[in-house]
Amino acid sequence: MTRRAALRAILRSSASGLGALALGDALARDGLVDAANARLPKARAKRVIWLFMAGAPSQFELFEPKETLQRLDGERLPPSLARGKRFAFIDGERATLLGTRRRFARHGESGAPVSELLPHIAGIVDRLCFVRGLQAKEINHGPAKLFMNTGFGQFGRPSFGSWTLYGLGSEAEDLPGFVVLQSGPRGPRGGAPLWGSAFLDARTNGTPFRATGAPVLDLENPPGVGDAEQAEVFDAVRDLDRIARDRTGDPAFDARLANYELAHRMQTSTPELVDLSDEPASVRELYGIEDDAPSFARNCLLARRLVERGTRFVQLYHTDWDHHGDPSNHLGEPLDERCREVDRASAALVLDLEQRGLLDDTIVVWGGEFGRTPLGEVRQFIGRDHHVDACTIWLAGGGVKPGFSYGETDEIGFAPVSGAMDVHDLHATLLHLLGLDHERLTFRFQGRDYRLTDVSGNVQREVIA
Amino acid sequence: MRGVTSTLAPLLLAALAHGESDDVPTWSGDVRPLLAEHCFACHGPDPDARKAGLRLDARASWTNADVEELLYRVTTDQEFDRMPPPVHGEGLGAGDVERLRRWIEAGAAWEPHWAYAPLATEAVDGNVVDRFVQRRLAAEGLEPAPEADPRALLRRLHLDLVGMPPTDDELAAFVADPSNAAYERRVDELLSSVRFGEHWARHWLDVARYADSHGFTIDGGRSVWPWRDWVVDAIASDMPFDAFTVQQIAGDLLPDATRAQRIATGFHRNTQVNQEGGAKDEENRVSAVHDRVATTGAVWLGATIGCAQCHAHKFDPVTHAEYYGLFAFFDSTTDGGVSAGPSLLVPRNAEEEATASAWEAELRERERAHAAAASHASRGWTRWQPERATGSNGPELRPEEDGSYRVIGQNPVYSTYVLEGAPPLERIAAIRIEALPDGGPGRSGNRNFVLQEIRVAAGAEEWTDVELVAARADHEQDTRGNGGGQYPVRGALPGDDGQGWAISPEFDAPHAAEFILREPLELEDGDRLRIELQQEHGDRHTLGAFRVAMIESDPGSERSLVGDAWRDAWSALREHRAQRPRLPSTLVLEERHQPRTTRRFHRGSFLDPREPVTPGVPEAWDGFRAMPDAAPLDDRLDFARWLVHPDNALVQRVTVNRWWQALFGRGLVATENDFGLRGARPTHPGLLDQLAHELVASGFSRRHVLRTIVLSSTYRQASVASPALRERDPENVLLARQRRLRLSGEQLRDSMLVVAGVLDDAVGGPPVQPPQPGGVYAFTQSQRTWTPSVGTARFRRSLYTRLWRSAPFPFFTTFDAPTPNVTCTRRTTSRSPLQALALANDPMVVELSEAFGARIEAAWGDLDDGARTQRAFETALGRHATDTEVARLIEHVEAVRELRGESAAWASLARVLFNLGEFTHRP
Repeated sequence: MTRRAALRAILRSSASGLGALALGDALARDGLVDAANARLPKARAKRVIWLFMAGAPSQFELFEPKETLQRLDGERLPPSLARGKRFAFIDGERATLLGTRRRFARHGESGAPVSELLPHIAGIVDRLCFVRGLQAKEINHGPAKLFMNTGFGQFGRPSFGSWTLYGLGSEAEDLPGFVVLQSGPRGPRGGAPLWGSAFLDARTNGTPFRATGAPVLDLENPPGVGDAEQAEVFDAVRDLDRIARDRTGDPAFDARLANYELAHRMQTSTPELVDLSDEPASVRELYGIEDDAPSFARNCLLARRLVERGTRFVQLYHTDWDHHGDPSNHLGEPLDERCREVDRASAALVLDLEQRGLLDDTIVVWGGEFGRTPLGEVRQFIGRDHHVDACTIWLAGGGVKPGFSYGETDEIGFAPVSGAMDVHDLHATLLHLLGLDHERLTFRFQGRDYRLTDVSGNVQREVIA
Repeated sequence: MRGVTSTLAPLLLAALAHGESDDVPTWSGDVRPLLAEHCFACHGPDPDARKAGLRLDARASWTNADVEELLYRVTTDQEFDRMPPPVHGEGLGAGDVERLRRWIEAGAAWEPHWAYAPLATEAVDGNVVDRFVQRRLAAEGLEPAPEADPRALLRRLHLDLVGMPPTDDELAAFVADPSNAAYERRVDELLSSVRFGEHWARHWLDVARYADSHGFTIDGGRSVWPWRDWVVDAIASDMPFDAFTVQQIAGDLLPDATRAQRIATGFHRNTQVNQEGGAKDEENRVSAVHDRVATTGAVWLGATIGCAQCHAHKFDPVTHAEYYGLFAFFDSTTDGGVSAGPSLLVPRNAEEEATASAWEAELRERERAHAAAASHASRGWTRWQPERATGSNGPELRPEEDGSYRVIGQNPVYSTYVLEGAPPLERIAAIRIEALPDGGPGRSGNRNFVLQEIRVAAGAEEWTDVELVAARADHEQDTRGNGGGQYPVRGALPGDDGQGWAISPEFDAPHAAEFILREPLELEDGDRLRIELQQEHGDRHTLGAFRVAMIESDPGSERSLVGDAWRDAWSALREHRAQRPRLPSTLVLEERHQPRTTRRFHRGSFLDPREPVTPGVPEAWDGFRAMPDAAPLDDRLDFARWLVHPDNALVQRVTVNRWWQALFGRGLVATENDFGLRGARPTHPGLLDQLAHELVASGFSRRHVLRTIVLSSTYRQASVASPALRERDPENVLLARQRRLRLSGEQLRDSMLVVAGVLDDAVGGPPVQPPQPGGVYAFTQSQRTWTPSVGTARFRRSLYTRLWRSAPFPFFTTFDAPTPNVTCTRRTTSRSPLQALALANDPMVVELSEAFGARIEAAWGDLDDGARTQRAFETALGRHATDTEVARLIEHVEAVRELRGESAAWASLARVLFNLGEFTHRP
């Protein structure tokens, strides 16, 4: 046996001990999962893939055709609706209503309206559940994204993914349990707190994968160091830490040993995860992956590969949906481009999960941080302003009612007239599907039992199959 | 079982703390925690949430309580009588009820919450720490652990006090003479060193949410590092904690405040500034004030008062109104929510100080002269600045202290400004609009504006238009000769079809226009006035800074509307501002001349201000002052002095507890930021109070309190525990031993710098950029490049590493450095695989491993592999390696030598040593 082979053998043998510990087990063992009393008898879903359209797509151009809005195009907002309302940029008393320039058709057996911009999503509407009366609380991007992710508009609360790991642990052996992927020209506003663990254990933190190069920081061997040498470094550290553990009896060394094991495995498993060459051409085509360049499509496929490997929560951010009416951001060509970037892959992900039998227990969420106004915003081009009173998102899989539409907005799409759902309701419902009681999934910090849904939230049973 | 473990944690601790069960239960030790847990949400301090008018947290409620009924309610099985109602949880257990019953039977003696009560002190011989800890250990039947061996002890002391391990020489000297006297000498040397200032400044930077950028999404850079240097200096020189507090909260308000005292106010300028396009100044200003209140509460008062922003605190005695009393202390600073000012020049030597002072004095003079000239130009006119002032299409009209509005934020193509409120006079004959060059006059590319039309209306119930018949201005644009247009002021009169009033090409001067009413407007009580300034010329021709004034009778046009005096004063001010010395600067607090009127925000919404609130502190925390005589607290300075009043025991307890926590990994009060009713009780209440007493008695000396603690034999114990002790006291509550503590990312990096022998020990100055892995900015909105500092600057102490809020230095974050957006009073200690990856592969660690490897080769090149390995091990870990350890490491060196040669082998040994659990923990 060569020295290298011998080293590998030693390393493998160590994997049968502590090294076999998955992160989820580590969480459980450390008592994090005394969130157990938040578990419901039945869970419909095991994992979540959240396709976050950062910047907030316009529901009026994608999912919400409104005849009356078309008819009133160019007219002022009725004072009854404008009074006391806050908009980020426009003047609600002076701006005029804006009908969409996009063509809509009804699709599938459910007859859900989807515009010409999203032909592939239009093709899967019978698998989707549209939520049309979702209401946000925050009017600007940063706070609104925080709210959508943490249930609160300011920094300092754990993210949905962190709460999920806290409640359920992870099943991933060689990979983090909560992974964040990003595409588009820049990172989402709000940054790391959107996937942060705040006061929860730091192991529930989302791990952001980078779009290019090594997806995790410090994942590559140092320059010039081969795999054999790297393995020997990990071996030496393990051996000396074991000696220290045996001498001191300090259990902190055990967690350390487990983490070094997982870290070393991630050096191998993560590149393997992101190497898509083993995916058949048909799959790449389904998602619309043309080359190895970073893209939303590639991230969708990565998300599927992650959940296959046991990752509990995957969040994809695709940025630049903030279509106010600036030259680079308006409801014309820029919106076309955003839709082209996400349409095919979003639908492909749902279909691919379904084909692999994963859709039944995987929730897919598609949406932004708030909606956009039925009023036009006139800059150099035409756009719409931020709107908190109503927006449209869709859900799929994981026990969600397919081919269904929940909630209805008024004739100009300003606010829900039935089926209003706020962000806490959405969170409560998703946690319920994951088998977690949102009122019992709590963590005591600074003398208060915090929860994702703060002090409100109702499970919306209508959207559950 | 989370419910049980968490809800009963305070009680279990209380039981541990007392240890005896036969005693009569006490209000604050037994009964209040119980009621706080189960009852206060509906029967506590929040009047809005209170059910059935029953209040159980105040003394008065117990003097005439129906205790029979109460005991029935908590024990009955009757669904509708049972308290707490079954939907709210399990309710009281049998033991709880028994304790409540015994307390009532014993007379229901009521005393204030322990944390708000005066200090209980006693005369103690010897070290106070040991006296209290050993008394408790004796009661528990436990023996303290033996003293740590000298190597471990010195390593611990260095890492705790200065954040870095001892050098080989320091270690050798102490091993040669590990006497008490030598240890004491070492303690005193360390506590007087600037390294101590640096390491303990890092603790303080955490609570201060310090970073080198503005935060939110744009996250532009900011300069506030001079404040960081102020903290290092204050701690290193043992500035008393009362002065340390007063200068940071209100140094600007001290009589004849020095530059250093003003720099100190940077503490509360570490709030974020939102530079996002749609961000509203007032909203973000208010949010910064909330943050200052919350941070002050957590850091000094051990209180989570953020809840009271929206409603009365459900568990702690802070009402909604009292919250806004605290808010009022911080509500009158000049800094805004979307702009970075004000900042202060920071000279580095006497010559620069002279330059800066001279410039500042001249600036004050020219500002005064400009204000006086502006007032003189409009003498007889009354300025009007109603609270409601809005602009269509997104801009924000920020009221300034000089009665003007500065238009900020969104800069739309066109906008109409609307001012509305109570009129300033009973009779109005003319209205004057001043267009100001400071921030204006206009917002178009060349600073022009076009006031298209002015509309005035008044009335009590309905608006009646007020007729304007004439207009005049100091200057009217007529640039027809240059291909421009003609914009006379009469065009702004309603009904006139002229284009409106503009001022090209005189952009850099004040201007005024006056509009004469057809007949003077007579106003009565209840009448309101509205002025609309329509600016729909396009291309952002809107006012950028303006002031409105009015007068009772028209003074006529036989005078100059602006005048040379004002114009000259403005030019002089502008020129002087442009000559601001090129020196470092730092963000500071500055008080307005006129305080703002603070109003209670209903349910916390700044859009819903209600009744005015005067500054003040919550009554429950103010018990130490003799109430009828206690002077009212008017401003931030009064508040700061109240915090460090010698009798303010709460602040003293919170402070010494956090210092204790830094040395033991856990406070005597485990909930270091919650000393309220639901927080943990102290494990050693007597010790906590005695240390607080020591703080005051020593003249608020941090050095004295830390010295007392690290000289104790409690601190000096070995970190060893039998399995039985570990089982019985896993968290080391009883202190029958010391504990290994995971180093922070900063300590880890600094330790590597010391061990590798490359530390650049320069103190202070602008932040530096050590190498970090690529790709850190893929997830931030602002794409930045991170160019590593060259030369030895990349080996500066970690304290000096640049911190972007949106993308903090990843090595530190991986090792639990807080995101500096909110105050952090205790870092968590996580263990994740990403830490292993960072230590194993990060380019910074690799570089330092190579440096240490080179040092091993150079310094011990004449020794054999074994001896060299032994020396490297000692240098890194501060102890002798065993034969087994040396053998394993030699095996490693040989393996790498075979693969990549001699230098790589020793660098790899260094890398292994840096990755060991013993390296990443203090002993």
